[in-house]
Amino acid sequence: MHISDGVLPTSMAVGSYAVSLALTAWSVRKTRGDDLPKVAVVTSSFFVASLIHVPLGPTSVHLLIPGLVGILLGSSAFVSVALGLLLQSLLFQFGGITAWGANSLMMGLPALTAGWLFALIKGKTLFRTVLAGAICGGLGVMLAGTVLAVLLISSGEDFLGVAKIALVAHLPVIAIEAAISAFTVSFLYKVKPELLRTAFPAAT
Amino acid sequence: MGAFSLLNRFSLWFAAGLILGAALFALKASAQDFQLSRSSPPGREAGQLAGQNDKPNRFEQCDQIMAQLQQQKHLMTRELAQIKRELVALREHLSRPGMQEIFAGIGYILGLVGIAFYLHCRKLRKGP
Repeated sequence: MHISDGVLPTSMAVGSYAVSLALTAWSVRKTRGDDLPKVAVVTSSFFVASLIHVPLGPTSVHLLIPGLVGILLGSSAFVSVALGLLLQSLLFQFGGITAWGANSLMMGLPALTAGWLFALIKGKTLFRTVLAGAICGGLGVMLAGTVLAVLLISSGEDFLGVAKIALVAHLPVIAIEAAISAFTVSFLYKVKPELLRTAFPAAT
Repeated sequence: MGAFSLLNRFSLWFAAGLILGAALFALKASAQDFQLSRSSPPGREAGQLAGQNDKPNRFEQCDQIMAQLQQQKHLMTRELAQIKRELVALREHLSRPGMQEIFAGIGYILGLVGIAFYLHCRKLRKGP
């Protein structure tokens, strides 16, 4: 799920760049200084996660983990995703550099949504927290597919067709990421619950 | 001196004759050989001697060669397809990011966040 160079029309690429830069600036301002080490670790994980391929029939899809980034970082998630995608496009040639804005929106908006939702629905108990983690983890990938479809309307694709393909191809990823998020959240809940507590200051 | 010169001359003519004879013999043999190879390949001599008609035999041979060529072409095509597949796989393998890129990226992330952290700490120290 990466948009390559030259797929989007110029106006769309420039517009998404502007929105992404604005969101990144907002995200940086929202980031508390004490959270920076956490941001670094989660960004590194996000950067590397896309190299983990899940074989699926003749093709393979890779992990995306926008949901988990959102859960762990809250409003700082956008800068994390933007930085990770910038380095991915520079070093791995995943997605084009001109499509960086669109790719950041595609991963960053689901991350913010997942973080906001997680802060909203996580309860006090372990079960409720884990359930919220699983839902938000799966939701991140689903939303990413939806945003991809919305972005590709501008290049003349048909929305429902793209959305269907993206969602069907990523069904295993959705399941795997829900499981990974649930596992991570349950582990953190037991070991270091304060990592989950202040995830999205805006929602609390 | 005179006798020696006579003997000498005789032996000279004798040697020249020998050489000429050998050369003629070799020329004749090679000409025969050439004619033989041109008129018919060695394998078909028996058929020709038996007085069979020449034309169907030639067509048959042509067909044989054609079949062999086609078989060879088929084998070559298959091998070429295999090599092309391997080439594609190799190209994909080469374009896949390696350890170097991964650690470079992680290093960039840690470095950038480290700078941000440094600025944050400097602000904290100056603040109060």
